[in-house]
Amino acid sequence: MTVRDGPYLRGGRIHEVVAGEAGDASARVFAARIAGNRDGVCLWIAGGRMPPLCPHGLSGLVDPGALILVEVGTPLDGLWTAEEGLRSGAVGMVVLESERPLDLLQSRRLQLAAEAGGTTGLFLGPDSGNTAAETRWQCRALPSADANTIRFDWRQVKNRRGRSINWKALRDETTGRMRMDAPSGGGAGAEECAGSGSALRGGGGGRRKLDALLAEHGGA
Amino acid sequence: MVAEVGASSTLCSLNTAARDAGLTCGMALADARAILPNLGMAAQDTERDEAFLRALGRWAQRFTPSVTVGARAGSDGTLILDAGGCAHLFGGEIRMLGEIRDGLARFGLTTRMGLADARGGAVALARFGEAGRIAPPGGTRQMIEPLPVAALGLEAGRCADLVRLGLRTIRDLAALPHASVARRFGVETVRLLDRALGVEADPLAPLAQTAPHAVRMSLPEPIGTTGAVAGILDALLTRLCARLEREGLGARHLDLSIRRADGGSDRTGVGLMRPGRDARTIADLFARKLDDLDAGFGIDSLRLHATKVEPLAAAQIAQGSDPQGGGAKGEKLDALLGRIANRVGFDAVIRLAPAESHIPERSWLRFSAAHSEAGSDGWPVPRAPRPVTILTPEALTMEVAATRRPPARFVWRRQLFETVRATGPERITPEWWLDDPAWRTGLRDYWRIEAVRPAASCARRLWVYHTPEVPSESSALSRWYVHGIFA
Repeated sequence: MTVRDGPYLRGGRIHEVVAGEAGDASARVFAARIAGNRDGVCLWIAGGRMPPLCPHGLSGLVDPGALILVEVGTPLDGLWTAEEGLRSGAVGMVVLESERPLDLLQSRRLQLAAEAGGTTGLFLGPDSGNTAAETRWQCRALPSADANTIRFDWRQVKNRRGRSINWKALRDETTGRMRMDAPSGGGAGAEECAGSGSALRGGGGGRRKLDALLAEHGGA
Repeated sequence: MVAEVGASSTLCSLNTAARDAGLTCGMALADARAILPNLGMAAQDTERDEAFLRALGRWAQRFTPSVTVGARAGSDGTLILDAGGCAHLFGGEIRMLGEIRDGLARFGLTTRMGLADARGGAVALARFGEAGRIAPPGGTRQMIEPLPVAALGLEAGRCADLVRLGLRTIRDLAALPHASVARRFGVETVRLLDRALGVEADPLAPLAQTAPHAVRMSLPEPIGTTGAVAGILDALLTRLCARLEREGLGARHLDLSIRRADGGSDRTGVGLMRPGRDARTIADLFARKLDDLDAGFGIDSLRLHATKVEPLAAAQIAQGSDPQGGGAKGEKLDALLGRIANRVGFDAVIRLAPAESHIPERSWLRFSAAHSEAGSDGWPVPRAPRPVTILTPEALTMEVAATRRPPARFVWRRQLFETVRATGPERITPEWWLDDPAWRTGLRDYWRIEAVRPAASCARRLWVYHTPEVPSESSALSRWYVHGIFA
């Protein structure tokens, strides 16, 4: 992993981005950046009533021609589509935008599908608390130094393997390209926009609960 | 049957009971109800009538290869069969007509038939002659001469003109010199007469011999489990796909209809992302739909119909490396999208393509992924930055009216923001050649603004616009809108 590439999300896992509102642009920029670093088609699933993604706005992040959008009517359809997409292994990445949080069982099912297909899944939605996701990110923009650059703050508030790493990303608005500042280590220091970040890092206790739940549901 | 002609409803087809009661075709519905208060009726459905006639035409192809659907007279359809060279197969013309009549009677249809040297003559005999008349070779003229002129298939007004002049029968008309008839009554009249008499050629455009891509299986014992249906479906698919492969076709949409032991029926269907004829893929798609079928007391027979087929060349088996890198991966993707589209709908699986428009919301096109390929030429870099999320314009509220530059303080989504930085304006004018209700407020000046909430460390990047062409008497406080979000 080099600084230039930005955050690395492990394949065959699902990851979460906390979206503060429907169609959260900062979360979408993060997802597009991750999708742009991967080969293959990106399956982008969103509720039909979400504010649409403007493909021109993704310039420099991901080729809109590599996106296949799926507009789903119900959250259940979205989960089903995401699971199918992750399991098939036919796409490089699956992005699921939802207005509902994931529960533990749903996230575990997605996680198993991602493992089966070796596909990366990214969930953009409200803060879901304890889930099977590998990492969780909070994305927001900071006041910037000049008019043409957007300064993003990508804060990793959960990481199942190791320490959290935060990133500062600079997006040039005219070309749309991103530049990464060196990552900084160390957990979620609570700032006011980060909200409930520190409450999420359910460690071993969550894992044990998960195992019990899985045993109960016969491996989800 | 009742047809809507202009504003009034008129009768267009009657059964014998109604005819006996004195109703006629063309009668107003109100009059008919006065005569027969308990009249049962149904609206005319021309499309279904025609589909039915075409189906009958296909049935009639068992008698002769060239069958066509003739002009309609009122609500009665006409089927025209070219019996030349076929009648002897059925033991002569009389027997052939008898067989056709019996066959149609089994469907519950009443028929009038005529057979003559020419199409027009046969139709005239069928409609106006005695039932089942056959004109001997060369005797068409003799047979149709006593018939009224209406038998030629003239329009009603022309017929009335002829009758008013005393030309009641075809004989009267045929006796006149052609030139004067043509001058007085139009060339069409002469042409119809010549065609009926077989003087002018009147070739037939036969219906295409298209057997539907369908296979059927009737079962000795009713079945009721999903597994059993899936087994039968596999057998049907094998047969259907073999046929599609022979003909170089691929199915786009397939329909499975079942007939239940109690006489009921049910159906379900699947669509394919790309034309395909791989029995396993199609069976996979059906697997999710079979549970929707209501088996009732058991299923008697199943019919699988490829309702939409498209040409599909034989695929070459991939040898070594595929230059596109697609191959198996592309097929997997198609299969995945097919499964998704069958659940969420084919319109909901979308690819995007750039469009030539400055209007932000029209600057890209959405295509159903089933009918489009990924574009090869990349996307243009936008002339000016575009937001990631496009909103339905949301009005800003502000304390002090801002006219040219974005407001310094405003409320958006019930939160107070302060503008830190504003870049713009970028003027976008509506496309006058398209009337878009959203753009009736005239041209817009777009600004990119960076806004912060007081005492917060994060910033928002918004795409706001102002409509300077809206007259100033309407509230100047509400002429700023958020149209997109960058961050």
